[in-house]
Amino acid sequence: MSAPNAASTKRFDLNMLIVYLLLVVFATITLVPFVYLLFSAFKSTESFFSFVFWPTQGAWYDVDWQGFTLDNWRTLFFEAGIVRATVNSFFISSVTAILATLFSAMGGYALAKYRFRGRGLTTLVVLGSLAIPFALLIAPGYQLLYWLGLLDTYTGLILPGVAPAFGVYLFRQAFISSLPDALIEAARIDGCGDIRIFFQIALPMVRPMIGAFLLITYLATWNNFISPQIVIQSADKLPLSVFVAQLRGPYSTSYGMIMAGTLVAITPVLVLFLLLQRDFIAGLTAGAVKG
Amino acid sequence: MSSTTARQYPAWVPYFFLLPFLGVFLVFIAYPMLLSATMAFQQNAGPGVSEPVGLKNFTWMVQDPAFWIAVKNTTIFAAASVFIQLPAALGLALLLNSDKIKGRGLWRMIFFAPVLVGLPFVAILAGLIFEKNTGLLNVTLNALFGFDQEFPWLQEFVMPALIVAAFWMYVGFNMIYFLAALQNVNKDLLEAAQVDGANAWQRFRNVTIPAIKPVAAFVVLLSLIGSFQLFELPYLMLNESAGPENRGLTLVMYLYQQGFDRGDLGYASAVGWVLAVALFAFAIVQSVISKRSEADA
Amino acid sequence: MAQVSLNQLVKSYDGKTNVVDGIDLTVGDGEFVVLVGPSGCGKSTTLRMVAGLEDITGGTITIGDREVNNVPPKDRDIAMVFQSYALYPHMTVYKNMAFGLKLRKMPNSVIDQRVQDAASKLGITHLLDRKPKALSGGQRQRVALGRAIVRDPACFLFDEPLSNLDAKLRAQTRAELKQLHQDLKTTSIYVTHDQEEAMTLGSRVVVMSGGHIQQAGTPLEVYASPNNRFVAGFIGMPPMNFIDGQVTSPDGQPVFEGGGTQLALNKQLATAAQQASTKRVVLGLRPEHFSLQRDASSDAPSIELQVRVVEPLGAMMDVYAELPDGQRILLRTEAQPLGIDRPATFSVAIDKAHLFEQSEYGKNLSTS
Ligand SMILES: Nc1ncnc2c1ncn2[C@@H]1O[C@H](COP(=O)(O)OP(=O)(O)O)[C@@H](O)[C@H]1O
Ligand SMILES: [Mg+2]
Repeated sequence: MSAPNAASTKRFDLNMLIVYLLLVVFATITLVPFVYLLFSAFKSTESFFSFVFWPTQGAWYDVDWQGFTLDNWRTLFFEAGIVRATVNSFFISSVTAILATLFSAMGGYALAKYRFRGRGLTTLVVLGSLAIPFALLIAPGYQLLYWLGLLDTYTGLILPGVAPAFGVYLFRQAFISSLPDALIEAARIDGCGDIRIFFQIALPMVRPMIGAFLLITYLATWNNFISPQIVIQSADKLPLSVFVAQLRGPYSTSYGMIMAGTLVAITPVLVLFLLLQRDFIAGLTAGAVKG
Repeated sequence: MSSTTARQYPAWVPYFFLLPFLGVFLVFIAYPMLLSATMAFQQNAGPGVSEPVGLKNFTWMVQDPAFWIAVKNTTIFAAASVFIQLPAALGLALLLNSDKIKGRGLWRMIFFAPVLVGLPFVAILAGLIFEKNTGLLNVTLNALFGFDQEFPWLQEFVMPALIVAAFWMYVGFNMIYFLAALQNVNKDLLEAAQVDGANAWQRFRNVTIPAIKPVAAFVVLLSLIGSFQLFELPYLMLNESAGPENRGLTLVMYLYQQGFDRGDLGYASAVGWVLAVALFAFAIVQSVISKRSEADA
Repeated sequence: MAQVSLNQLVKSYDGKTNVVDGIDLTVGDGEFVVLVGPSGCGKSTTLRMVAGLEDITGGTITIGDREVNNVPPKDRDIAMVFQSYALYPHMTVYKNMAFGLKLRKMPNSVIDQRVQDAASKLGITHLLDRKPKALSGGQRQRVALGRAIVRDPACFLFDEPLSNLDAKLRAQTRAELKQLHQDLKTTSIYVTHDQEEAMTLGSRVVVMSGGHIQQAGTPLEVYASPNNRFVAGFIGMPPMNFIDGQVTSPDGQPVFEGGGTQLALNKQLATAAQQASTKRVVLGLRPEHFSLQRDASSDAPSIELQVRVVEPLGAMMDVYAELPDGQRILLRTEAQPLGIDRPATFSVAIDKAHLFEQSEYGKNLSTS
């Protein structure tokens, strides 16, 4: 009894060693670009070309502190105007995320909890819209915004994305699975009107979905490049995604500054993720649950 | 039905809740789709000027070598996503799935981090890493293996570079889906199989695979949809271009060039429809396959 | 407080079949009426129409002296206790109870007074700051009751409020509910599928099946004088035994022939049998109306049965026995020793027996 047990424990240890080894290799590959980004953002152009990570004077541990600089940041903040772009990104992402969450929740609630003429058709439209690729809407969308006079406006950038079918679908599922009809009926008997039921009774029941959806919409808007690239023309309205990409134009030699700009752009999202990790993952995998 | 109804709420209430969705859908989804169906048969010189050209957009497209390069590149990229990246993601998930692994939350967070960087920023970062002379990759390869050669990634090996960058960004993200799917694997069944004498591979094949199949099918479809709409990664890695000899040209980038660099939104609409039909075909094939395998089970 | 009347009430979901099919019922002021019937018979639907949670297909409902067909739930002056309790999970017990009063714009002092009163009446004062998740099933049930009480409505509506509790707690809460009604004397309509709950709680019991009222009456009436075979079989535990057969009078003395044996009938049952439209009738005998015959000379009619299984219950015992033709019936008698797989003679309280027409809803010949 004990002999095979001991043997299997030993073999198991070897297995675990291999598993950890693989994980460490994978993790290193994953993290090296982050480290590279971090160091590059603080290096002068000269040391950027001479050293991969930190600048040295001979041996790797002999750090050359003179190789570090804050010049990249100075140019970025005071000349290139990244503050403006950051504010723009915060504004666009916040407004989009809040409106998209509210409107998706409203639509999903109606489809999940009311019976009305046209419900079946609307549900079908929602499911059908999930299959429409974004690429199909690029050219006609641009044409439409041109006609509406919404090119180079935040309205034109934000409005098309404030009621995504994907969100309506997710919230419909969430209300079906976690809001019992009896709760709505109890509220109705208590004297609650329909709008108040939605905000005070229904929304609190799908709190996890609200958190998750806010986060994924925020992330998607923050990292959206193609929409602002097409819609926005004025330099002072650009969000970070297009702004950082454009740093390579007039300041193309300054790799350190591009790195610093990238760091500015990705830090808020990384911090948000660290704070709300569980909601985030729940949100990103929410679509897969339906299997 | 009859006049005696105890209306619990005014009839407009559900429509009120649906109004924002319906409004946005009609104006910014349904109408552009109809519009695009007519635009696909027009030629534009900028958004204001159009002229009907019948099927010419489509005949030009099939005669344009650049279109076929885009199709080829996009297909290669999609295949790499499905056949290289997804198996690796599943592998990672399997490594992390055992509760004997210490610090699972931390590992998961590390592998997940790249997707948070966001496509445009990954592209910009990758552009610098793959840079021929000073990029991190060549410098590291030279240091580790003593190559004195500088690989022209962004000139000669564009597709491999794109695939590697996408792998770095998405492998941990897809791992999360597989980790969630592995929760569906019945532990009792695994143990029963072990008692029945099934080896590790047989257990994986007969218990794990069937359990994660629905999620796997979903992830494959998601990957295909994403791959076929690839744009930012090559566009920004290659400095807002398609690379030398269109080596990094994708279908959406082709659409963008035609619509915005050349200003022919009609032609771009035609490309959009080709793309949409291809994706629709994938979705149908996928649902047929998953239905059939359900029927088998 | 008020009287509630349902007149020719009809409900159809699909426009074809009526799940509630013309119900007439008046619940008097302060009365406690229980709707009881098998699952799917339309009890909840009826109650929900009274609450205003379902549209009415036909007929009228009046509460007090007001027709409420077109009145929304909040203006009907009713309060409802749901099977799932339907407590708002993100609100404390206090807020759950106060919510309806707040919406009615009552002054905070009145709200507080009412919530505290109801809480002390129900013994949940110490739970007021908790959220529903932190309560046991029984405690949640009380909060749901409290939420109804604070409203001081014209009528309480209960939809299976005890079915999520375990058996012991259910019996206890049942008694408390009864006490509460005796104190408050609020008109109540209570829905359950459990006939025992119906009998113990209701001042009147309404037995429903197939969207119809089969019988409405006091618990004793529906037990002792069921209108039809359905009511007879539904009310009473263990359920009544039914034996198919016919009534004859070979030598002037009326007897029931069925189950491979004969049983002498009394005069009343004999006359009843003459009213039957067919010759074949069904004899209904409650398990508790048998007793082991000790004295062969007794003039009560008796029946010889083959004893198969005996289940002792303490003072009483359940006996599963076979009629000569093999049909099994159940008897409940005083506990005493009895041989298994041996014949035994039981006397029958024939005055309490019933004769029914043969269909599922066959009418009770002996009471008409
Ligand atoms: N929303 C609905 N739509 C269609 N049929 C329903 C609905 N609610 C209940 N029914 C049907 O109406 C009948 C009566 O239901 P109900 O009143 O809930 O029965 P119960 O007596 O068990 O409370 C059942 O056959 C049920 O299937
Ligand atoms: Mg019911």
